[in-house]
Amino acid sequence: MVGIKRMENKSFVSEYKVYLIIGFLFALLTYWYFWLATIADIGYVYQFLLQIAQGNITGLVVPYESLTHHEQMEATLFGSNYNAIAPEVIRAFEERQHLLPIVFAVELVLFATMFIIAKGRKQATITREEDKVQVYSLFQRIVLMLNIIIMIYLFITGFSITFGNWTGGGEIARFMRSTHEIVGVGWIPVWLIMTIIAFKDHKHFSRPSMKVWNKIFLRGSYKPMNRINYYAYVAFGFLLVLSGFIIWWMSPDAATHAETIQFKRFILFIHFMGSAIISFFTFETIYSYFVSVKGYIPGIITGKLPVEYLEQLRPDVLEEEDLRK
Amino acid sequence: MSNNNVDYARMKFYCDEQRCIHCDGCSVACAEAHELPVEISRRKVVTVNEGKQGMEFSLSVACMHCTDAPCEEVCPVDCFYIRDDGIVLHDKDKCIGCSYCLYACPFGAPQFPSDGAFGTKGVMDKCTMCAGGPEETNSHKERELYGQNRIAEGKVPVCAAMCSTKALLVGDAESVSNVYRERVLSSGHGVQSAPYGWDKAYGK
Repeated sequence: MVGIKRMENKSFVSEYKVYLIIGFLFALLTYWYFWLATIADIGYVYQFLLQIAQGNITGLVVPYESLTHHEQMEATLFGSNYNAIAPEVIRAFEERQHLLPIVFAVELVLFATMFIIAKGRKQATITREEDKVQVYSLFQRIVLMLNIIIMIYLFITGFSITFGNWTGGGEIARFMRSTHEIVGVGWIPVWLIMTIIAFKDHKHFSRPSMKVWNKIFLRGSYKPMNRINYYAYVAFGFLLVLSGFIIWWMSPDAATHAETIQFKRFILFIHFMGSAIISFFTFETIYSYFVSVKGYIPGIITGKLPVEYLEQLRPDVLEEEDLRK
Repeated sequence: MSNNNVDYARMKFYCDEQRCIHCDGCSVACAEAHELPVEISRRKVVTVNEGKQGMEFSLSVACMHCTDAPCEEVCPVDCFYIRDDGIVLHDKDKCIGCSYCLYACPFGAPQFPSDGAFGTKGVMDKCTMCAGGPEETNSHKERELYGQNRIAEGKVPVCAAMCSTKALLVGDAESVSNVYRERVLSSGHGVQSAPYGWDKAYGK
């Protein structure tokens, strides 16, 4: 009927479709990985996790006295249960070199397909170029820029380690590896601040004074896929900064090697996994903000975006009260 | 590249835990001979069950120069190479210090000096079985990067040469196996299939 706004009657499935699809794919990926693909001893890994939670990182999951003479020697000299995780680390490393280019190619095809289905790129028609509003504060711009620059650098240097067979090693590759560690450590506070300021769902439960709020927290609200990208950034970013920090900080000498090596293997495995998964969501973020929709890149530098751009592509940002004034 | 003469079919280490007295002669000799920095221990001696009567034993360990060396498998820049006599060596000019070899090694052999800025690790160092590296044999650069090349001079690796109780042996696999068998039989402890670590390093 004309003049009457119809109340949308969305079913549960249509309301949460994106979350359900991503959740299902993740469950499938987890099942495939932990029950079909991995050669790690999953039972041992579970026991090891419980031991780590109790502060025992040696990798020994049974009492030392219960080991045979041979096993005691092995645990004391080289760390216990070599065959539980190390072969998986070796396999994962080899497969990364061979499979990651294929995975990235598949992702590229996926995004290209989405691009074609969406009938190309959405662009805002801007007729009043000068009509702009301040969307990002200086603080937000610094954090956003640092996050972008650091993540690009970590991607490049991370790839230079993984695909060392392409670089062939040497001085430059060694420099990239060592700066990967240091820049990664530098990413920890940036990741943490970014996690805080990009948390847009806070509006559902609290709203302090508007002026300070908008200088700290990014404006607008998330669409479902962007919300997933944000939470993936938080979760897998956490795994990466934690594992990366441990890899950099924990350098045991020959005397303490046996007590720490199994933990380090486990942490490296987490780093491998976290980097592979965060890649997908990072690519998705780039796709949704800059490819499927033509982003307004100067906005990140100046903090100002055209009103028409916001009206057409980011109405959620324009809905903010102080921007409408 | 190294032009060492190959005098042995397959070089292997063997440490007899019944004989090792944890004098640290091997590790000190190694550090001295190769002028290693203080944070590098190419060879270490560990005592298990210290103070427990009848259960205490010591073992000297370093790179075992494995047949299918896992370090070689995981090295992203392929800096490892295995000589005809089985000695596993690496090229420090190629190594990027990623430490993947450390994660893959069952014996904790790779060592990384924390000599970079902000505690970043340098390139990997490990036991060369006193066989130097890929540089010209006995050149200044080889000596500086990898230490002595005693094998090229026809000498035994310094750790085994210095072992006062002859617990640590090195040499051709067949000769070392024969000594091992003789020792096991004469000790009356029954027959073990192989010396400790050999199953992991060289297969069953």
